[in-house]
Amino acid sequence: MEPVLKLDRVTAGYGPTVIIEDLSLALAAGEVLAVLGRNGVGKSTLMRTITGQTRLHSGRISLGELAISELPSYRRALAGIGYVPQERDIFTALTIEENLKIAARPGRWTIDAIFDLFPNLASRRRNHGNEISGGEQQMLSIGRALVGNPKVLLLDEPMEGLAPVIVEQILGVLNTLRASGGLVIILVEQYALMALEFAPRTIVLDRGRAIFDGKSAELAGNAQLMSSCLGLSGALG
Amino acid sequence: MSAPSNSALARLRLPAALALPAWLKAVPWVAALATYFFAPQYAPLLTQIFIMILFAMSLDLLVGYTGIVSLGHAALFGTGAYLAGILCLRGLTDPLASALVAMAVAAAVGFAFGSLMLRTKGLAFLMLSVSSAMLLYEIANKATAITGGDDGLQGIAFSRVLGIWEFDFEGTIAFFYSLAILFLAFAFMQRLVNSPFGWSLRGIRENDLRMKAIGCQIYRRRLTAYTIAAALAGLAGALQAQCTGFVALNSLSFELSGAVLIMLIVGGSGRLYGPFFGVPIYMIAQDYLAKNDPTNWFLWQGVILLALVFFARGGLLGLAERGFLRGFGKGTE
Repeated sequence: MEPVLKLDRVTAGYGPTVIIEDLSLALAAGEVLAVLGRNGVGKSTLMRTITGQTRLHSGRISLGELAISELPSYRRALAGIGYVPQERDIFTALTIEENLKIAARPGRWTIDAIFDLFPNLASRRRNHGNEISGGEQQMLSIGRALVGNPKVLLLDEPMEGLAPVIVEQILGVLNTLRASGGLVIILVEQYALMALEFAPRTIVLDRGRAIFDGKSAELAGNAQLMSSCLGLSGALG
Repeated sequence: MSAPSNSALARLRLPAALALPAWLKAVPWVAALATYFFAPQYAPLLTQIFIMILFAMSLDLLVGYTGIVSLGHAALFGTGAYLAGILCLRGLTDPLASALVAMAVAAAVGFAFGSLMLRTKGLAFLMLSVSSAMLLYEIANKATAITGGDDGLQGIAFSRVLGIWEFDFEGTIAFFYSLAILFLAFAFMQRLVNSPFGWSLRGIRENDLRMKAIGCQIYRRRLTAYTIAAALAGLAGALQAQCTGFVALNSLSFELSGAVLIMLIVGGSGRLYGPFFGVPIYMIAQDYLAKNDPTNWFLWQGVILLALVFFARGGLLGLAERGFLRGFGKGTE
């Protein structure tokens, strides 16, 4: 199957500093990928590289037939890259509804569909971004990325700092998105066990390079791999 | 110029549950009309206040909503004023037609300047904004045959508004004419800032990187905002020429650019109603202090600004909002 998102020998970073090195990836429609690794190995930089917020030193990124390596970040978003940043970056001067409306583009994910997905947001649609909880901000951040009707959804540690009950709720939504098919999802997550369970495929980064790229079950079931890749002791399965 | 972080500013806004009743929005308009009927001798001062409110409102679209701080906004006000004056002296005496032409030309000048200036940010933008006003000031100063140079444009006499109402010595027609134009401009601004375009400007002010990541072309939006602000500033300038019958070099000066920014800060930027408070207070204080303590006017202006910076961030409306929230015994933090 023709890949929706393809990274071909990508080397990128901030200014002259290289963070991601010689990374290649190809993801087909509906494919879900977890990106794991210790702190500072380049997981978030990988996301920012795909969205066009870093300096690409070499390599090529394409979205379907379209080469997006040279495109500015707004053109990549319009082409179909949806990004949920680690910091959430909700516009606090705008209401929930306004946050969604400024990002909305025609497609399956309408504002009403987002409110169906996150009923909490629907009941607080007129509240400003600074009047909602951290969990609701995360839901809004995901909703804002979805109303752009992306082909690829990048999620950078969406569970970070959230209460277990909210994590459950967001995980439920992510499972719905995965089951709906068609959307490529890349999930960066510190909670390795949760990510391995969610995504059928995983890459593990170490100092900007992929040291594992394969089935999540394979990684989870291999104690030696888990230990060498993530520093976790013992297999999961 | 992108504001570094406006989250603190945003936190000052009233929570949705404490939104002010709609009738309160009518208060400034009713107050303006009431002042005229109870003290008609102040009509010329009120007219000047309306014009400056319109001018400050146009700057608010840049400073308060888009996060572009300009110190050369008088360039656009002066363009409108000179254009209306020059056109009048050359035969276009209809107030509405000349106001529309002044708006269009000011928008074109804003678009041209903005196309270059908005490629920069921060201090570079600030310097370019000052330079643009100085450039036009010097052109107006040198082109005496067209602009009257240091003496300004004199002998301007516009025809009747809508062919019915003639500008009178008491300033009654100028009062109602400028109030009507201000009302229309305010209605337009209100619609604009509460549209998806207006929300995107606030998004740019708050976090332009995030706006790019959701597909917004920042430069184009900022340039559009700058052009609209220029048109409104040009309209204010044209009103000034029409209501006073005179255009001076001061309409392009750095002092005017600074004064309108101070008026906006005093009232509270990014609030639509900020200029309705900041402009009258500044102008009445200026009028009072210029009469009673003329040598120290700038000293008092400095003291007022210092007090605002330290004790009333967000201007008078910000102060009122905080007081309102305390009165209700809840914060928004």
